[in-house]
Amino acid sequence: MAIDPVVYFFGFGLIAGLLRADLRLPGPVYDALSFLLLLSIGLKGGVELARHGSSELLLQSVAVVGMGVLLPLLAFPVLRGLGRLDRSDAASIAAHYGSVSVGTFAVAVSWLASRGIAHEPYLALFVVLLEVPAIIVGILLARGWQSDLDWRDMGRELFLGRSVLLLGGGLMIGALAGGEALAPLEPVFVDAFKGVLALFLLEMGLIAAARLGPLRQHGLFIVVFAVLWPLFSAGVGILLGHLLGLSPGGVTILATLAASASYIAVPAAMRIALPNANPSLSLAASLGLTFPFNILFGIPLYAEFAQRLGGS
Amino acid sequence: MSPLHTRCLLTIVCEALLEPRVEADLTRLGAQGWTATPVRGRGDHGSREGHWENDGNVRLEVVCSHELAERIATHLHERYYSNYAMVCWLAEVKVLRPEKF
Repeated sequence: MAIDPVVYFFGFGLIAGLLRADLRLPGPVYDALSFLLLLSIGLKGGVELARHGSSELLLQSVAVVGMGVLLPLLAFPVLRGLGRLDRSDAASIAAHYGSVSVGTFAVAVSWLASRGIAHEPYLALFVVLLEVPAIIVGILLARGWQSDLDWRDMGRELFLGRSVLLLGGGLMIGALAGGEALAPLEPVFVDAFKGVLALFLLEMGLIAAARLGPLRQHGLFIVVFAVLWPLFSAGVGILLGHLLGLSPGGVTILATLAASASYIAVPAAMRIALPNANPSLSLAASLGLTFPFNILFGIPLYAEFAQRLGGS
Repeated sequence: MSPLHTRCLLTIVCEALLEPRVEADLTRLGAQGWTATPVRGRGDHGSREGHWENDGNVRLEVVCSHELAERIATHLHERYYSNYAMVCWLAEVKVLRPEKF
């Protein structure tokens, strides 16, 4: 099956980065791309949320948050026991893998669209819902309830971080304004989406290449974990999606979200909450390995399983 | 030309995500102002290229009395040095309006 062209941009960035080419997007351009990406996803989800809001959706949301709590709790003992990582590193990586990557979500949506596979259009809501719970679980796993952490400061970090704020703000604007009112904004937020995603992925390829170097210092366990754990968590996502009655496309998205690992919101939060955890270890795994694995191999695999389970 | 007065320039380079926290510390410790600039570079914590949010450094420059600069530097050392990418240094500078610093 043909590869989605946006993935080629990632591959191009990755190769250019590995060759140490002097290629990079200026910081403000990266910022603008990530703003556009997050707002576009939020707005689209918000419009659909207003159309599909129901008690069933509420139940789905609660179950998805439950998955966000469960996944880091499952990953933590594996990282501690099999990986022999110290408490902070294990908790930090568990939080990365319990939370989600918006970039991976965007590639999954684009992949499904290019194959004409329908999915519930409000699933951007799940991205927002899955960002934060794993971070809180990770902090509690490392520091316990009795910690001296300033939770007010941490709350600002979690809920006023760029990705939660822009996705949440986009969802609200989309839900309040509705699709028709937003039509004049479509050239920026809809038509340009794939181009923006392609440029964003080019930059992520360059950044991921820089993260692969430190992997060599961290041993084989983290490499195996970064590839096998997403397969396990995707399985959890597929089962949950199936139980919630999502379409095969929706199950694919939920599996992708479960399999993806955060490389933007969680690293920043962990740096503040667990300063003695090694940020290069968790970023090497989530961005250097899991992100490329998911967008190159994971998504088609999860879609295959989702469709088989859906009986189509 | 007006007489020049001696003050201390404290320069701090650290992970960008510490900026709001260090700035709150500067205010609390009595600094009257500072200048922040996004920067990139290489050090003990590897290369920090500064082209996305988890990879940036910031440089904060504070001109103040020598005594305050030392107090700030001691605080930064105790609070951040063990876990974060951070360096700071002090230098003597000449200023025209001592009351501003």
